[in-house]
Parts: sequence; structure tokens; C-alpha cells
Amino acid sequence: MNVCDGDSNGKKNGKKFGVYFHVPFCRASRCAYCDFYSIAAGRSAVGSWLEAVAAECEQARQGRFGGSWTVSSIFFGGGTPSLLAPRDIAGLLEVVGRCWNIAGEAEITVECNPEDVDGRWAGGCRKAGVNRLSVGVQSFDRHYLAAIGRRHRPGKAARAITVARKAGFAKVSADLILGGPGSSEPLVLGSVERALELGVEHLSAYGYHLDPPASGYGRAGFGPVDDDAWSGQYLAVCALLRKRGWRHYEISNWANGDDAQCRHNLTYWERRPYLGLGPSAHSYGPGETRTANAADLERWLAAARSGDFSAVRTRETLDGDTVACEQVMLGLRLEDGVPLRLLERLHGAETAQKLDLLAGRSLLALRSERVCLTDGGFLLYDSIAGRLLPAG
Amino acid sequence: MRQIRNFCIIAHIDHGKSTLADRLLESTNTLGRREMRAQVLDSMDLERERGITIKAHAIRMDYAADDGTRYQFNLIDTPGHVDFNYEVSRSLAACEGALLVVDAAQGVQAQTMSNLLLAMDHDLAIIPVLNKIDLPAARVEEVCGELEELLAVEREEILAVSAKQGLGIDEVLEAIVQRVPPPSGNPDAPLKALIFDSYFDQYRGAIPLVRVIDGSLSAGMTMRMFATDGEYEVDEVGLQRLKQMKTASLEAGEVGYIVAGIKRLGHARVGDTVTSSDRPADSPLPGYREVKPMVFAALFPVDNDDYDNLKEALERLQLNDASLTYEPETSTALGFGFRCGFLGLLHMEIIQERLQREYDVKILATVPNVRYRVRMTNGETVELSNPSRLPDRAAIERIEEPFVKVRVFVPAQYVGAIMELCNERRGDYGELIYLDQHRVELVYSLPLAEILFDFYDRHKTVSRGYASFDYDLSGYRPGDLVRLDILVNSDPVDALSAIIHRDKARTWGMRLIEKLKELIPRQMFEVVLQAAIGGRVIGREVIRPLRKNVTAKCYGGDISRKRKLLQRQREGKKKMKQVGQVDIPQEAFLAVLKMD
Repeated sequence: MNVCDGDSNGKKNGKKFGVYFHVPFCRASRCAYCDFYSIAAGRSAVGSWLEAVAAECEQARQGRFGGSWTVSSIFFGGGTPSLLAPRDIAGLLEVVGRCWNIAGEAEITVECNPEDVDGRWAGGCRKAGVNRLSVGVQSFDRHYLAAIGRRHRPGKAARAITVARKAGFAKVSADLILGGPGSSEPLVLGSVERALELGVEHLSAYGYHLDPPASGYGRAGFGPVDDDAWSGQYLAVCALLRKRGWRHYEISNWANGDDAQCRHNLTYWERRPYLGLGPSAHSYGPGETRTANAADLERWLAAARSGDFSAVRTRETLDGDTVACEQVMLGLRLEDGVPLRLLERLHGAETAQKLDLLAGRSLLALRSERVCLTDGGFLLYDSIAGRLLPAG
Repeated sequence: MRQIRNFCIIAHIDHGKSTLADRLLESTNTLGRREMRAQVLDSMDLERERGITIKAHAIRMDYAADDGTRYQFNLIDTPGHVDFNYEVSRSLAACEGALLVVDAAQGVQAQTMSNLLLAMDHDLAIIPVLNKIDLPAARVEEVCGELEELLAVEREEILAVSAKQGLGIDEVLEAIVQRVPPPSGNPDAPLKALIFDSYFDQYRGAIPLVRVIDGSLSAGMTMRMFATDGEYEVDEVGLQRLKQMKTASLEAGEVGYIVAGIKRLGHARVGDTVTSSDRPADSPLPGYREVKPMVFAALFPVDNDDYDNLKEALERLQLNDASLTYEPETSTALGFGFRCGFLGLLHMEIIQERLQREYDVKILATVPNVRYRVRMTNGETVELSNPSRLPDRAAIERIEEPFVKVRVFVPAQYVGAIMELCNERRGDYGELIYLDQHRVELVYSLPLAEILFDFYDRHKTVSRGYASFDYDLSGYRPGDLVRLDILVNSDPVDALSAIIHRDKARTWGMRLIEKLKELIPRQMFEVVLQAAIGGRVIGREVIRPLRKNVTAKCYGGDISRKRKLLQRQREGKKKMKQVGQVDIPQEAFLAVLKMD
């Protein structure tokens, strides 16, 4: 694997981008709240996927990401990427390394299901070059896990984190779900405390939310708690982690120190380029172009065989207004918010009135010429973003 | 002149007036089969669909009678609805006879009665026609009984027909010859012609339809209008078949059209008298009055960008309908629109529907209101058609509102329910007349404002659809009226202001804010709804602020989907109306119209 120091190979000014692998497999049926694309895994399907995703990667090297690019982060998401064997992951990292330079400090993350993490798997991944694990803990409460349809026991998640540490992972993140059926403030805070005890330095707390593609949508017993309880849990998590000195760097993400932030996900929010590989993966490339692969493994595999992915790919070139729209909507998700100047450019004389109304209700604050949402503002992110998006 | 018969058909809605007209045209070979479309006289789509005649027309037929003589028939169609009562009366004034069509199943109804009374006022010969005798539900004997009583006629004088099946049509034609008297004008006297209708032609301007009473009218002469004092060179006269047919002149007793380069419909007013400039008549024909709107509502474009389209659409509608009035209005809640005046409820509905259908302008209409007469303490009188403009209370001595005489026809068992409804609506009982042992005519005096609002639906509901009603304006009376305002976070919503009787204001206000609470979505902050009477708050509802509106997941790089969701949400918000910082959905304004 050609891991190199960004500075030492003479391509100091090489453009940086992130690489995302969408691993579209899960062990059995999908979790009731999940609306990401996945299907039940079989070994031969995984084999085909590995080949095809390598081909897609190499094609990007010839095309959109041709030239002097440096990979600053790699992320295996899904689905359940921990279904991949360490040698599969190593193989894909080699493919990436053949195509581009991978920065020495590149963040390489694999999302994992607690049940899949044992000493061998974790050690293998570490050896392959993976340096960050994101563990799908969801909760440390057994009943709550059952209520949201997860099969693993809380002990598994704790062990996964410990095992990861032992295998030498300096960066471990835990995903938690708040607001799910039967959740409460003490229950959610209990899980946060437990994760802190286990020594993770990154937490994602996603709101339980069902959209129509999720299998639990509309089913009795799968609904979230009411908005008041939901908000209470969220604000309690914000307060606890603030007290511990963590940075709340994005609506649903917290890091213990600047280095602990997920650089790959920041690529999305900060509108830096990324290459998504696999069915349903999205890319954002040069020339303000976004592309999306169809969420259909078979069609995507067929496209890979034919060598032409255009049939499964939609493409959008963003105009100036859309770029501004994205800047506002993505910026507002972040702790640092959006530049006041940008909003003034979009809303002119109405800016002050719009912002004063929200600031007066403590939904946002102005910090060094940037407009940032407060915790209460994050809770109303959709409404506020709607107000601050450019008109038209 | 002895061979001319001018007549009209009067009927309650759906009793078959238009179908009978079609049969007459067919039997006199005025139209070939190919030209025959059902209900040819009603040329607007909307008319055909609703089965009502909105604008009057006239058509010439030639009839070879059994006595071997050829007669000139002029069928003058009349708008069937009370909103167009004045137009009806002018059409009747142009006739000597009327076919009174009554549905053999439904019997005499409110409009039968009001139209009949109008026809009798004009001394027309009435020919009773019992239609739809082919229906299984036809009650021929009973309804004949009603007619005998009503008209004081013999059983034999009632013609039994089925216009749909073409039964009895010849008898109708013969009866027109025998029972409708010929016109009795003086062909040598100075010209007097009655304008009983007019329409607008894009190329030829306003075209009055006239009945010549005295004298004659021909191309080349200069004519003068009494009411507007306009003078015009007559370019063309002619008669109306399905299309216009140019003739050399229109003689006393005849009916036809005039083309004279009249620019605006308002210059060829229904009811006005046309005379000759060279040899003018001393006085106009009686009965002219200026038509004034009775019902008002503000219309706003749903999409503010449609303002110019709405304006243009109203201008064009007015070309064809001089009784429609409009003036610009600005609402803080709904933006720029127009306060429109209508002859009545049906007229209002028709205009609204035509705007949407023919001009594709989506509109939001405020609650309709009447024109109030405000007597000020300084002795002045202000006429007010916009409730939010009611002057300060201290300056008002009293407010007067228009009253109508309502005539309800109803089976006896529903009299109690109808009386209750009328009492609820601040009605004064007038009289109760038994038409026979089953059917009753009930007369009430009601504030017009009280029937603007769902009275029609309610009277149908409480009588299981059997009652019918009609009304006439009967003057202004003082009332204990107050202005009710709705405030959203202390900002009054002008489009929801209403002038209303004091006894009803509280309930109305409370129910309105309850309804609004249901319809206004939770916002980022608390929304306080208040109802206030004359500035004093009488009710309050609170919409709690939104606690959470966040889609927390935004990873995996699918930015476009998220962006589109937010943009769609913002588009939805754009359709709402802003009062202060509060977004109010359009449905909230429409809901007011649906309150009972």
C-alpha cells in the first residue's frame, strides 16, 4: 500500500478529496429505522462487489479525479462494512493507493457492527491501514436496543470498543440513537456516560427518525418519542458533553478535542470533493458536479461489467444559487456556522431583521462575523435553514 | 306587427327552460340538426354546466301556424336567478307573454314564484307549461292544482309537455300565437327602444339588444341614449338567429341588435331607452335604474405574481358584465388584490369560477359582506364595503345594514326547521301562506348579511333539499353591529375582520380563533391568536412553539436530497401568507368561508 506523506512526494499542492465505499450488505434484514441502501449479504455477491468497486475506483482515476489528487480520508460505510474481511479492506485500500497518493495522516474509517468486532478482525483492519472505527453502539440499554430492533447485547458494544483499543485504534467513535421508542433522558445520558467511560473520543447521537423507506415506518411500537421528550434528550446530551469539554462540532456529532472530529464527514459539510463508490454512493467533484449512483446492486454490477457507469449515474451541475443554498444549509449544521457576509449577500437589507428575530429567541448567535446555531437552534435546524436559504 | 310574438320562458332552476327553448328552435327549423347543441342559448361553458342562464339572449324564429299565417317569434331568454333580477325585469319588459315552466315532479318553487310575480307586474300573458310529465315521479294532478290556484286558470289552459321527449311542443307554439298578444307600439311615433341586454364584441364594441317599442331604427341614423346621454351613429341593425343577421331596419314591435361603435358596455346600459337624435322622444321608457352591487368580497391572487393577470382578467370580465365592480385593495395579510362588488352570491361565485377557469388565476376570496351605511355623529353618511375600514367607534352614531324579503317554499313538515333557521339569522317573521295542504310559502325579513353565509346550504339541509328560497332587497335598517377583529401576535389580520351583530360576535370570534389554531402550523415561536370586538379582546388561543424540526442525519454524501427537501419546505412556506412573522396557510383564510 502506497501510503505517503503529503509533503514528501513533491505534490505539496495536490488537491485533496475523500473516498467513500458504500458496502451495500447487511447480515440479515435491515434495522427498522434504517433507510440506507443495503441487501442481505452472500459471499459471492461480496466478491462481485469488491471487483466492481475496484473498477469504479480506477475509472474515477481516469476521469473525474484524474491528475494530482491526494486522498485525505477514506470511509467504509453501509450497510454493514464490518462484514468485509480485513483482507478485502486491505485490497481496496491498495486499489485506492494505486490510483492516488494517500496522505500520511489520512483518516481511514470503517463503520462496524459490535457483533463483528473481535481481536482478529480489529487487528487485521489495523494492519490493513484502517485507523478509525465507528462502532454502531446505538445504546447500552438492553431493552432500548430490543425496542429499536437491534440484535446485539449491550455488552457486545462495550467489548467491541475495548477490543478496538487493544488492537491499537487511537480513534474510536460510538454511534448512539436518541429519541427512539421507549427512550428517556436518563437512559440516553446513561449510554453517553458509558461511552465516555469506555474512552471513545468521538460520539454521534442521531435522532431516531423514520422516513418511508425504513421498514419500521408507520408501524406501531416503532415511533419516536414525542417532540418534547426528544428535545429534552438532545439538549441533555448537549449539556453533558459541553460540561465534559467536548466540542459539539456538528448537529449530531461531538469530539473530544479538534483532532477527534471526523474529517471524512466534515468533507461533506464543508463542501470539499469526495468520491463515492458502490451502489447508492454520491460524489462531489470538480466543476461543482454532484453525481449519484442508483441504489440498485444488480444494475450497478452490470454497469461495472460493461465498463460504463453512466447508465446508473445521475449527474447534476450546481449553479451559483444552488451552491449558495448548499453553503447555507451545510454551514448551519456546523458549530462554526455560516459567514454573515454570505447571508448578507443573499438577503441584503432583510438579513438583520431575519437574524434578529432568531437571535432574540436564542436560536442563533453571531460569533466572529459568523452566524451559528445554538443547541435550541439545532433542534429547529430545518425551519431555520428554510428561512435562511436564498429566495427563488 | 300583428304577426309578431315577443315572449320569454320563466322557470325555477332545472325545471327545463333551456331544453324547452331548444325544442322550440328545432320545431321552427331555426336551427338545423347539425347546429343543435343541447341548450344553445346558454353559450358560456359555465352556464351549460350549471344549467343556469347567466346572461340573457334573444333569438328570432319563424313559425308557420295552423291558421296558415307566418309569425315572427322573438324568444327572449332571461337569467333565472335573483341576482340578475333587474336584468330579468328588463327582459320581461321587452315581452308581451311568458311561458311559465314548472317541473311536474317538483312543483312550484321559489323562483317560479318570484319570476311569475315579476311577469305579472309587467302584465304579461302567462302560459302555464307543465314540463317533465314523462318522469315517473311526475305529480301531474297535484302540480296542475297548484298552478290553477296560483294563476287562477282552468285545467285546460295548462299545457303538459316533455321537452326532453319532444311531447306537446306543437301545442306550445300554437298557444304562443293564440294567447300572447301582438305588440302594440306606434310605428310612426318618435323612436323608443328598450335595451334589455348588451354584450361586448371584441371588434365591434358594446352591442345592445333592443326591443323597439315605437318608431323604427335603421343604419345611418344617429341615436341617443337617455340615461347616459351618449350619441352614436348606427352602423348596423339586425336580428339574432344563432348568428347575427343584418337587416335594413328594426320596426316597432321587433327585437334585434345595434352596432354603433359603442366603446364600453357601461355606455349601453340595460334598461336604458334608445331614441333618435333627429326626432327624439319626450321621455324614456319607465323602469330604468342603475344596477348596484349588493355583495362584496376582496379577491387576492394566491400567487402574488399573478396580480397583473387578475387585474387583466377582471377588466375583461367587466367588458362583458357591467354589473361587476372592482377597485384595488391592499391587505397586510394577503397583499395586493381587488375589492369586488357583485349583484349577489351566485354572481360572486360565477365570477370567481370564471377567473379560475377561463383566466387561470388562482384566487383567495375574503368572507363576503354587504354594503353598510354608517351614520356619523357629524351628520355625514358613509357607505362601507370593506369591514376593516369601519371608522372609529366614537365617530359612529349608528350602522345600518341592508335587509331582504325572503320567500321560502317548503313542504309543511319542514316549516318549523326553516322558521328556526330564519330566527337564528335575526329574521322577522312576515307571513305563512298555505299553497295547498302540503306546501307552504313562508315570508321573512332578514338582514342580507345573514343569508350571504351558507343560508342556502342550511335551508337545504334542514328541509332535506325540499325548500327553495328567493329574496328581494327591501331597504336599510339600523342594527347593533360591531367590528370583530382577529389579531395574530397582536397584528390585526385585516382580511379576517368582519362587521357582525353584537350577539353573534363573541361566538363567531371564539370559533374563528379555535379554527385558526387548528390550521396554523406550529412556528418557531409562540403564536397568540386573539379575537377583539371594537378593540377589546374577548378571546385568546395560543399555538405553542415548535419544539423540534430537524433531520439529524446528513451523512453518506447525499446533499442534493437534503437540499431539495429544504427547498420544497421553503416553497410550501412561500404559499403561506405572512402576518408579522407568522406564516398562515391559505386554508386558514378559506376556512372562514366554511364556518357555519
